[in-house]
Amino acid sequence: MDTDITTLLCAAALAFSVMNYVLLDGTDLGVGVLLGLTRRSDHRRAMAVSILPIWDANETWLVLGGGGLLALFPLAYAILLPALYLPFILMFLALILRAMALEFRDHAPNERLKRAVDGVLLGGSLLTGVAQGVVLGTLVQGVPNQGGQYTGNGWEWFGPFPLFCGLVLVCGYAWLGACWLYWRTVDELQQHATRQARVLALVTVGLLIVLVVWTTTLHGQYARRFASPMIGLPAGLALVGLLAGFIWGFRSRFHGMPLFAALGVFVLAFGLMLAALYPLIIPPELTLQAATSSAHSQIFMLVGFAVLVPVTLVYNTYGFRVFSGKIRVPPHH
Amino acid sequence: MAPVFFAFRLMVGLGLLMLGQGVASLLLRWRKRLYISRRWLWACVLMTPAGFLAMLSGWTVTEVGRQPFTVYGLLRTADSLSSVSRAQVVGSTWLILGFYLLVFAIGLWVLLRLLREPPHRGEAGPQPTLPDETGGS
Repeated sequence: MDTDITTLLCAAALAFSVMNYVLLDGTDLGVGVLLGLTRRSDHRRAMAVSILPIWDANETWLVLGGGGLLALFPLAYAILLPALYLPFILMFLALILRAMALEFRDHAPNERLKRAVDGVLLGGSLLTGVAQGVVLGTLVQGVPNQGGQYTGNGWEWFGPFPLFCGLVLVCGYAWLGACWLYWRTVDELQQHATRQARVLALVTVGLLIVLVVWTTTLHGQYARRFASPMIGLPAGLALVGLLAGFIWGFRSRFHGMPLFAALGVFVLAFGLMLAALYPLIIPPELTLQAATSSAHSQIFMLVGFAVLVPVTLVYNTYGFRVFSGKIRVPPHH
Repeated sequence: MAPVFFAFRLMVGLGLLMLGQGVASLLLRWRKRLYISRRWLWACVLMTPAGFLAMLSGWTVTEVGRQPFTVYGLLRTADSLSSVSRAQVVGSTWLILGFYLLVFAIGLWVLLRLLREPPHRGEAGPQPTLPDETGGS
């Protein structure tokens, strides 16, 4: 069964939302992780300030992705959500805790309590990132289903491959976070972020390569796709180019360069995942075409996306523009 | 259907009260008594939880009132049950309940702490260094 053009557009709209979510919220989740690991309180405050105005706007893409999956591919939604019930619940609870810690940390009456709040921020950010990696890993691994119903036992996500994906994603998020801090800060905090970004780049790319190799052992289709010269070769070249951009980026006068190179690696990894899965939406067998909603729902949703996506992009951009200056840590009193 | 009956009346009643509060505040402002009428200020204190209560009862009206349907007239709740195991549902319900109480308690504590300090003349405004500290341009 071929995938028709409307279904392809729907899949593209959904993939775009999820990717934007990973790129945008991934960065501020990473800052949350690094903040929790930072000792100096003035540095921690500057890190919190750097994401405070934009983190919640970033999360609108998660809502769009979730709602889009339900409306565009109801069958996939009905299978994935029960299969991933626990990771999703944990992710949402972690997001709530994290939001609370981030928004209210300035209200903590003393330094000890503030440290506890920052511990919650660290835990929430870590758990959110791991849960999201686990979700993607479970999807790639495949979800048992029959006749539009999930037929597993609710624990397929608790396996080595999904958990490894959780580790990779959370490392990647921390990498994005360090690049973000390099962009947005100055002096000591910036030097600190530079070292973190370099180490995390090495760790993330290493883990990513292990992940790609592991993925090829899961299904024959994945191995064939990655080995194809149309996919494997350009992907390898793009990775080398992006890493060169990352290393050279620290010499650029535009301090956002390393972050954009790192985001490029994320886009590449996300693209590879889609290239491995297509035309499936849930391996081993459910295709996009088989999981799609009625033509009326598709058109209705696509029109909605055509309005919502530009509006969301504009207000995301505006938010970033208003707070695009360098964050300076006030001197000690 | 007693819960819906009472929740609906609570919601509408509180809504009308809040509307009345707004109109009364306009009248008092016009008569220049908005900030000095003690009875009015106490009434405002009493009305503080109205928003929370109205929201919770409105939620009860939609969720309980729609039963036995998930999508009214189209999909029955019994038929929309997913294949998530009982243990996971029970466990997550306790978890969500615990989180809700925790977050609500902390929110209330922060709110009450903020309210404890009365407003006074000559409060410090934003520091001139704030744009530098927040990256505002």
